[in-house]
Amino acid sequence: MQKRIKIIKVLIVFSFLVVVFRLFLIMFIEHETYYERAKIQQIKREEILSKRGNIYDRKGRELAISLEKDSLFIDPKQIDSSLTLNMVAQYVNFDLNSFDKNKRFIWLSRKLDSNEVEKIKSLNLKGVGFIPEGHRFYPKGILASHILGVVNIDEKGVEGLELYYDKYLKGEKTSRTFLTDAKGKKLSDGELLEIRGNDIYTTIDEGLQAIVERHIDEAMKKWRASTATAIMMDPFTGEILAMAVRPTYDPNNIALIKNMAVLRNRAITDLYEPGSTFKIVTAAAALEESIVKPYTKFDCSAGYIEVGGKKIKDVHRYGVLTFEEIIQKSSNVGTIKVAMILGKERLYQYIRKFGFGEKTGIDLPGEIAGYVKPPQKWSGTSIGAIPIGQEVGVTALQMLRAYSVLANGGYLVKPYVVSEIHSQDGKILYKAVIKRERIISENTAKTMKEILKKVTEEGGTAPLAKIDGNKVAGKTGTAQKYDLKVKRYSRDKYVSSFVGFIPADDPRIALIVVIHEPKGAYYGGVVAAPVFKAISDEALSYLNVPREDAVQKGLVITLKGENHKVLVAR
Amino acid sequence: MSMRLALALFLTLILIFANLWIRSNTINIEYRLSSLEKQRKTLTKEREFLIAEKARLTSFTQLRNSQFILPDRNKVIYITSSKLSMAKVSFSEKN
Repeated sequence: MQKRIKIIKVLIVFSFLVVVFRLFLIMFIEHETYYERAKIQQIKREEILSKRGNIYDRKGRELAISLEKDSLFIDPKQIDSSLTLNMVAQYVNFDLNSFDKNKRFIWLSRKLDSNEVEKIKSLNLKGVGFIPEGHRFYPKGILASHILGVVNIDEKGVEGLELYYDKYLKGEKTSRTFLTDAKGKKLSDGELLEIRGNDIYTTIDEGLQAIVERHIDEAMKKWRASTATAIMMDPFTGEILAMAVRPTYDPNNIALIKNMAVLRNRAITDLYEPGSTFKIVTAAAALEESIVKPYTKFDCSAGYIEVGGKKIKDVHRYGVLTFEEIIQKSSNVGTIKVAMILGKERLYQYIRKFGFGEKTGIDLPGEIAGYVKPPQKWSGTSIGAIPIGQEVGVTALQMLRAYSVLANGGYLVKPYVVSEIHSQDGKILYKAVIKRERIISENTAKTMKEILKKVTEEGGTAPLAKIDGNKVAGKTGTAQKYDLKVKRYSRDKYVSSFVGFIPADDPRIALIVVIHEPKGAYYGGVVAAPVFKAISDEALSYLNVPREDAVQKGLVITLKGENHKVLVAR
Repeated sequence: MSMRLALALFLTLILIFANLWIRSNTINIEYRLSSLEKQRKTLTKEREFLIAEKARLTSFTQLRNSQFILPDRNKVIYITSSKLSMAKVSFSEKN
C-alpha cells in the first residue's frame, strides 16, 4: 500500500514537473512564437473614421456638415449560399452575377440610410458587414450650392469650396490597434480618437443668399431665361455675401443631375459681353484724365455714329447731351465720342486697371480671366464697340468688382469667400486679408457715383431699380448675344443686366444681376433692374439699414445721457 | 520556521490572487470602456444628425415657407445713443 502511495506521489510530482517544464518552454523558449500567434488573434487594426470639416456662413450657421453613414460590403468567400445575397437584395440594388468570388472584399452599397442598415443587420448574415463612412450633408439644400460645391462618394471635393479647400477640409486617414478577447469582442484602452478636417467660415450670409436665390428664381420663371446670375459683395472689403447661379442643383442628390453643366459656377466661369454696364470704364477714365466734366456737352443729335464703316445707333435720338446725361440715358453715340477723345491706348489701360482681362483671384475653382484685346489687335470698329461693352468678354464677378471701385472711393478689391479656417482644437489656420489697390481718385469715384445715381431717377434707364427710402447708384446693360452658328449678333438672344450699389452715398452692398436670354422683354432696365430692386429692398431690411429719411420720418429715437434704460418689445 | 514558510506561501497566494483580481478587473474595465465607446459613438452620431436637422429646419428657405417676412422699413423704429452710430453700420462688426 505504502509503495502504491509512493508511486502515486511520484506520478503526481512528475506530472507537475511536466506541466512546469511545458510552462517553462511556453514562457521562455517558445515565447516569441506564441506571442506572435496571440497578436494575430487578439490585436486587431481598425481605420479611424475621418470626417470632413464643416462649412459655416458668416454668422456660424451650418452650410455643410459631415455625418456618419454605414456602407455595406460582402466577403464572397464567407458567403455560403446565394440565399444570403437574395436576402440582402430585398433592401439594396446590385447585380448578383457581377461578383468576383475570389475577392475578399466587395462594396455592395455605399452610405445607406439607417433604416436599411438596421433591417440588414437584423438578418445577421455571414459574410455581410458594414463600415461607417463620412457622409457630406448640406442642410440648406440648393442654397449656395455653386459656392459650396460637392464631394464625390469618397468624400473628395470636386467643385466649389469643397474642391478649392479640400486639403483643409479633409480629415487625414489613420488607423489604430485594439485588443479583442477570444470571441472577438473589443477591449478598449479608453482612448477615443476622432479625425476631423478643419472648419471653414465663409463670408456668405445665409439670409442674403436666400433673398438673392428667391428673386433670381422668380426672374428665371418670369422671363423664361436660359441662365441667370446674381452676386452680392461688400464693396469695401471684397467679401462675397451671396452668389446665386441658375440653373442650379441639390448637392445632397448629385446622382439626380442629368446635365453636369449645372455644376459650373457661371458667375466666374462664363463670359458675356456686358453691353452698357461697361460704359463706366470709359466714363471713369475720361473723368480721371480730366478730358470731360460732368456738364461737358456732346452732340448726339444724329442718333448714330459711324465707326470703321459701321453705324452704331442710340435707342432714341437724344440731341445734345451732357457727359452725365450720356451715362444716365446710356447713349452709345456719346460714349463712343468720349472714348475717341480718350484714345484706344488710354482706354485699354483703364480697362485693365478695372481688372478686366485678368482673374479676380477669388478663392473658388474654375475662374477665367475674361477677354480683352490689346490695342494692336483692335479692328477699325473696335473703338466703337469696346466702350459700349462689345468685343469684350467679362465675368459677372469682374463687372461687380469694377462697380465696387466707384462705391468704395476708387479701390480695386480682391473678392473672397473664405474668411477663416479653424482647426478642431480652435487654432486659426487661415485668416483672409483685405487686398485693395487704388486705381482712380476719390474725386472721380465720387463724381461717377453721383452720375450713376441719376440712372435710377426720372430720365434714366432704370427707374424700376429705384428703392423707396434709399438712393441707388447703378447702370443697366442690354447686350445682344453673339451667335456662333451664324457668326453674328443674334436678333433674339440678349443678356440683360443691372449692376450697382446701395445705399448710394454710404454703400453697404454692391449687387449685380445678369439674366441670359429673357423672353418677352430684353432691356436691362425692364428685366434685371426690378430684380435688383427686389433683392436690395429685402437685403436692406434684413441688414437693418435705416431709410435715408428715417430721422425726418421720426423712425429714429436718439437717447440723451449715458444712464438710460430702454425697454424693447420682442 | 514552518510558520514563516506558511506565511510566505500565504503571501504568495495573496499576491497571485491579487494579480488575478487586478487583471480581471482591468479586462472588465476594458469591456466597459468598449461598451461606453460604442455608446458615445452612437450618441455622437445622433447629435450630428440632430444638428443637421436643426440647421435644415432653421434655414431661411424653411422660414420663408412658414410665412416669415422681413419687416417693412417704414415701420421699424431705430433706438440709438447717438446720431453717429446710425450713420455707419459695417460688416466688420459681425453680429
